[in-house]
Amino acid sequence: MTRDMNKYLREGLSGTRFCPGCGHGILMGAILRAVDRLGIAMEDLLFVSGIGCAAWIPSPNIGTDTLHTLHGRALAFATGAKLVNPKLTTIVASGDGDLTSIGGNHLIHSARRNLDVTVICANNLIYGMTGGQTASTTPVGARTSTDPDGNNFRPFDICNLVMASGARYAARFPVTRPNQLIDAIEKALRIKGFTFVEAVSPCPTQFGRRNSTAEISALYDSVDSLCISKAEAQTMDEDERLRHFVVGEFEP
Amino acid sequence: MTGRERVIEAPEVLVQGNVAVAEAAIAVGCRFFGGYPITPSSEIMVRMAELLRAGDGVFIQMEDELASICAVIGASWSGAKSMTATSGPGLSLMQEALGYAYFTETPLVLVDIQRAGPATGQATHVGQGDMMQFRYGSHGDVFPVALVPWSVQECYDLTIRAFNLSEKFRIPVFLAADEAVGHLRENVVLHRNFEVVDRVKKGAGDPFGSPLRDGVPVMPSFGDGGHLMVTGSTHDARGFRKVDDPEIHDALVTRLMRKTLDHVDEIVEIEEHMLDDAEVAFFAYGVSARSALAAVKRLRSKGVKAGLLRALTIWPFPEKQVTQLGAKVKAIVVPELNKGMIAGVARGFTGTPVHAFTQTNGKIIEPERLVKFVEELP
Amino acid sequence: MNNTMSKSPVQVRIGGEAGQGVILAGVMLASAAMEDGRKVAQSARYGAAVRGGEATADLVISDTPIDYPHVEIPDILVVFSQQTYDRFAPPRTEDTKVFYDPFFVTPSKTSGGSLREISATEMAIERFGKSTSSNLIVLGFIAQLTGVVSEASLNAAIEQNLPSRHRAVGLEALAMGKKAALEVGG
Repeated sequence: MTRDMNKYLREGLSGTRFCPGCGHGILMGAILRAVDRLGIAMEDLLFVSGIGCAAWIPSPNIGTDTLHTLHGRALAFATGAKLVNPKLTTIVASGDGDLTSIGGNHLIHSARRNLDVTVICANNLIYGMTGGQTASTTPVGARTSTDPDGNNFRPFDICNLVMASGARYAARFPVTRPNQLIDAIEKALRIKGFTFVEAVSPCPTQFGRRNSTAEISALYDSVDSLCISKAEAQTMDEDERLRHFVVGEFEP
Repeated sequence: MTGRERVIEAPEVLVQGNVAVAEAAIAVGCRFFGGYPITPSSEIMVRMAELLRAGDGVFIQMEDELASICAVIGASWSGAKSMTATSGPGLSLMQEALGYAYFTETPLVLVDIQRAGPATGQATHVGQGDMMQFRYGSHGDVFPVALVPWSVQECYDLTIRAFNLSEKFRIPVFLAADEAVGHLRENVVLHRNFEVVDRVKKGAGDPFGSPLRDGVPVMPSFGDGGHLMVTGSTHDARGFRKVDDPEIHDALVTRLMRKTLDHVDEIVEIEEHMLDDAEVAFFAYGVSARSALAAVKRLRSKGVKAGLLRALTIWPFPEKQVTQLGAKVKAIVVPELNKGMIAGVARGFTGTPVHAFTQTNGKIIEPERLVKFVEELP
Repeated sequence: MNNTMSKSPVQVRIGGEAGQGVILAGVMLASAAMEDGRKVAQSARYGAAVRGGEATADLVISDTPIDYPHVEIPDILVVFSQQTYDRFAPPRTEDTKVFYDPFFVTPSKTSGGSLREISATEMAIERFGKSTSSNLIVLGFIAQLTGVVSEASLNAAIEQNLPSRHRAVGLEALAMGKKAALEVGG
């Protein structure tokens, strides 16, 4: 991370705990650059996270108030903290398993209530910290430790899910396109109400090595090549579309 | 006290126990309630919605009990005295977050209006079957505080005390009430004659550590510029995760234990009734203690030297008082609306015979049954 | 039937179906007794459904603090349903005063205690076109016949417990009960 972002990092840390090639470091940089563009003061920022690799993006790395909570419950904790102190710019940063599986109910209800928070979902398509198990976001056919022959269940389209639940804004970009990601996070933070940014963030350790793409740059290339626009998505049948990531912004 | 225009001001009023809980919470400064409807506790939530929205507080109905208790913890860290209310099934769902609150030293009050369990059980009927859930519901070592009201007046008074203990020791505190007391209407004085304890928000030291063996650290709020790190993982005094350090884990678990156990004399409240010359004594809590007191008076009128030791605090357990009681009487009877949870605990602190009188039919214990039980003791 | 209910404690049980105003009647009576300067413990027993099913309201009135808060042996038993009549009457003591609404209850010949009928449901329908005030007619009736609470306090309980739009009907219902009591005499 470049030196001008150092002010956002907690003192006394020496590097993150992310695996080599993890996309979460890029995402952390994108979050902080968006915050920096908006000039939000450190003491006005609260990061809330759940459990999993992505929950470690803010905790302990980002030097603001951080609330590192239980698995799945980040949004519920954030609800109480934000309602009592509405001045806090509240960012929930957590993973796909945390936010959409064990925490799925809190996700849709926070969107329904239009809770004024920005949710940043690092979607690595798998349970990384616990050893590569199938997630509610794992693509059909992808191999995991619990589905070595390939996952049979359709993944959530999380952006669609939160928009249908009442979100004011959603966006999906891969960490391979950091500038678009920063723009989306900045926009999400500007919009009052429930906003959501899904960052497709590949996991070389758990996803990559099980799906013939262990080499980091190859994995990044393959993820990026699977990203399609909304217009391109319209030309595909459902099965084909489900093998891709529809990137872009989603607004009510 | 200002800004509480909705609070009933009459010197003596007729209110339900559940309503008295809400009135007390507001009076002692509770400014956040997150909850989910469940019989027989829902009147608390409804009254809190009225009172908080009429004043400067925040009420939110969450999507489930998991979310409710988590929102309460978040609210507490933003600086508000916070509360939820539930019954057994909801308490079961809240247990993980209660462990989190304990380990992160988050003050909050959880009101449990116990009903007849297990499972869905009998939603509208009384039970006292959550006594062990208060104590042992969390995984890991926790040393919680649970207060037990036996009247509507105590629903008021002990809710205030629950908040004060919670703020003082930075610990979640249970109000271990039950359906019979929660739904009872009695004469009650919603007085303002009480001390209010607030957490220390500013001061020296780190937010998660203390040089004292039983120390309660300072607790700044989010947004105060403290750049807090709150985590349910093992952490050092500043809040940094220390998930591999054996000394830090042991020291943290031990200090949290001592916050409760080194202050047992302050936390534990008991009440004695006719124990001076008693030969047989009830050890009772909550609504069952009222059955016991009625039985004591009837036994006395029949010449039986009976008495009552009533626990207003059930956790930490009144160990010393039960030992002293055992030294004084020939037999102890523990009447409770479960299969003998507290009787079993009491046996660990006295060699005197402890007889469990258990009733699990969704009703409170008729005094005549206790009279007969004592008369037939060996 | 004399005004014997200044005894302490006095135990009142009102039984019926959920939705008949049984619990509200218990609360009103408790409110009136407190207005009379006495200690009260009022409770209810009902099922999980919001409508239907058996409901009972218990009230203990005393001049001293109340230990056991529920009713053991009622001094006054009011029943609005055959089910609660059958369950609670004949009572365990001959001293219990039993009041029933003949619209719902046919008493058995072996009932103990004193029996008094009050056609509150019929009276309410005739006067107001619906049965919802029958509980208050019964309260006016039993207050007059037993003295369990004073008339003034019962009227005050209307003010304290009913929304303003229902108060006039409430007061009239109490008066109807009182009048019926005066007609049948103590």
